[in-house]
Amino acid sequence: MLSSFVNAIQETVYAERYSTTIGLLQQIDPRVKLFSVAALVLSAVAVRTIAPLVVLLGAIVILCIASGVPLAFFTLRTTVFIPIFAGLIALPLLFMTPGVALASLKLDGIALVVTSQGLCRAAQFTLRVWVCVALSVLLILTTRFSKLIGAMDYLRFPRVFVMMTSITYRFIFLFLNEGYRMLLARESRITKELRWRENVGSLARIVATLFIRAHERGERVYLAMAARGYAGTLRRLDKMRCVKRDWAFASISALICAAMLSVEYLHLGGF
Amino acid sequence: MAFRVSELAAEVNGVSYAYPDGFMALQEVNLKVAKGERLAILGPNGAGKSTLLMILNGLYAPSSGEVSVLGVPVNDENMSAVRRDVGLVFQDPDDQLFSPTLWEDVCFGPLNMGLPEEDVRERSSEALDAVGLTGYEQKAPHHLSAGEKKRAAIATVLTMHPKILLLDEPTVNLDPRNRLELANLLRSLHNRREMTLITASHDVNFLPEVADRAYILNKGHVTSEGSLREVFSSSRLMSEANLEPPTITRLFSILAEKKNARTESLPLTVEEALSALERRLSSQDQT
Repeated sequence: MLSSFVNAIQETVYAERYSTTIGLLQQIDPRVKLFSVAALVLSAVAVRTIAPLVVLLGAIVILCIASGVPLAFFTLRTTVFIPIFAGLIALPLLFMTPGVALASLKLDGIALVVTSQGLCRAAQFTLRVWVCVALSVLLILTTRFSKLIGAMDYLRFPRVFVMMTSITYRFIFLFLNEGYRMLLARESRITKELRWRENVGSLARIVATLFIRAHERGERVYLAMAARGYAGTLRRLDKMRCVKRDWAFASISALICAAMLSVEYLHLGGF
Repeated sequence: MAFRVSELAAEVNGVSYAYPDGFMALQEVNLKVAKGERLAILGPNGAGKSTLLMILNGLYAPSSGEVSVLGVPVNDENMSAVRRDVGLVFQDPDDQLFSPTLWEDVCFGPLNMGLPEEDVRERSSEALDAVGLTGYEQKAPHHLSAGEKKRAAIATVLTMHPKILLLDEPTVNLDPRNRLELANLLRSLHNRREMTLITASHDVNFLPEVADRAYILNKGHVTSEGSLREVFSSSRLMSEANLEPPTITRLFSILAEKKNARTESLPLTVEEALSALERRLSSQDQT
């Protein structure tokens, strides 16, 4: 079971199935994509009404289709994160927001009342999270990781952050697999059911060993970099150039952001 | 073996190295390697082989003693020239391939050398071609097989056009086919680029493919030195180093013992064994 979990995560993170196909987003300069997605996410966070979010969701669906990402796959991929990120926070909003009662239920003598305002706030929050997750997933699915790292570097993200992200992506599963092998080795030597305390103790030792191994690996990777002349500055070869299509995409993204914020702050619509 | 200084690829004089915990990995090591030579550093696990390679590349500074490569002392002043001329292939290719794509990894060295972009591209394509990985440029290192990773790690060093190639346990985790391919690759690099090869390993069956002379390192000391044939034919040297001669050499040595036959030189490889057998059979046919 653990093995299939590791494989599933690996497949999710490493699969570059859609980023190498030809589609609308795949052809956009990664810097433009990164910048546009960041602007759209910020706009989604800034609005307090549902209508602009619905419009943005519509735009995401169109982009998804135009980029050749199957909708069913995309929906599943984004929905997986919703209960984790939004569900736990949105659930209490249903009952805790004062307003017109829609339904009530009793749990151990405590009466919980679902209000229409609560429902509206919970839906708004969930939709906002959904839109933000969907934008991020769409960016990752349609951009090769190396290009994304390159874009972060060009956009002058802190060098340490860019390098750490790149190395984490490269080595995370090496360690996940190493941890998995250590767990297997532990299982192979267990002859009776362990008590909770013993279980936690042995797992803690595995985690500690993994930390030590990660530290040692880090040392060796640094030596390998130094052996090839690394002196603290990361140099890149691939130059990125924006073409008309990129400018058009950036302009449309800016227009969507402006429209969303206008609806919100100039009270041009929404509920 | 006597060398003129101008012929030397590397020279190690009285080098000792202590790790921060006080463990002496190397003690008074002396070693000379001629330009274009294929040298093996032979020894059991923990003998100090990897440490010696790190010192030759300038990654570790010796606690005492002197090291020079191609006549240049290995010190901070000459470090960029040392890193350019001495390429080190690490034991675990996962240590060496740290970029999201293979292309970025092969470009890493020449970019650090400050070469113009056109040169970096040319060298990188050429290195990938030399190791048979053309078309793999955009592959992520974690999607490569063990053999491909090893060849990719060699390519990341070849882009710097090193004159000396250091290989640390190059056959670890490789299956027989990949070991054979690696031996062919190293032979072709040595022949075509006149590169000096220094291979640290305890893989006695692989070393005859890529080395002619050997130093035996044990517990941080150089215990002996000689041609690979001399070293592998001496059961005393082999047992001192906790090693066994190559399987084919052992077989011929046992056969010679059983038949009380005089052996001038024991074969080190299957090819050598085959020609020895063919010679023997044809001489029998003649009698």
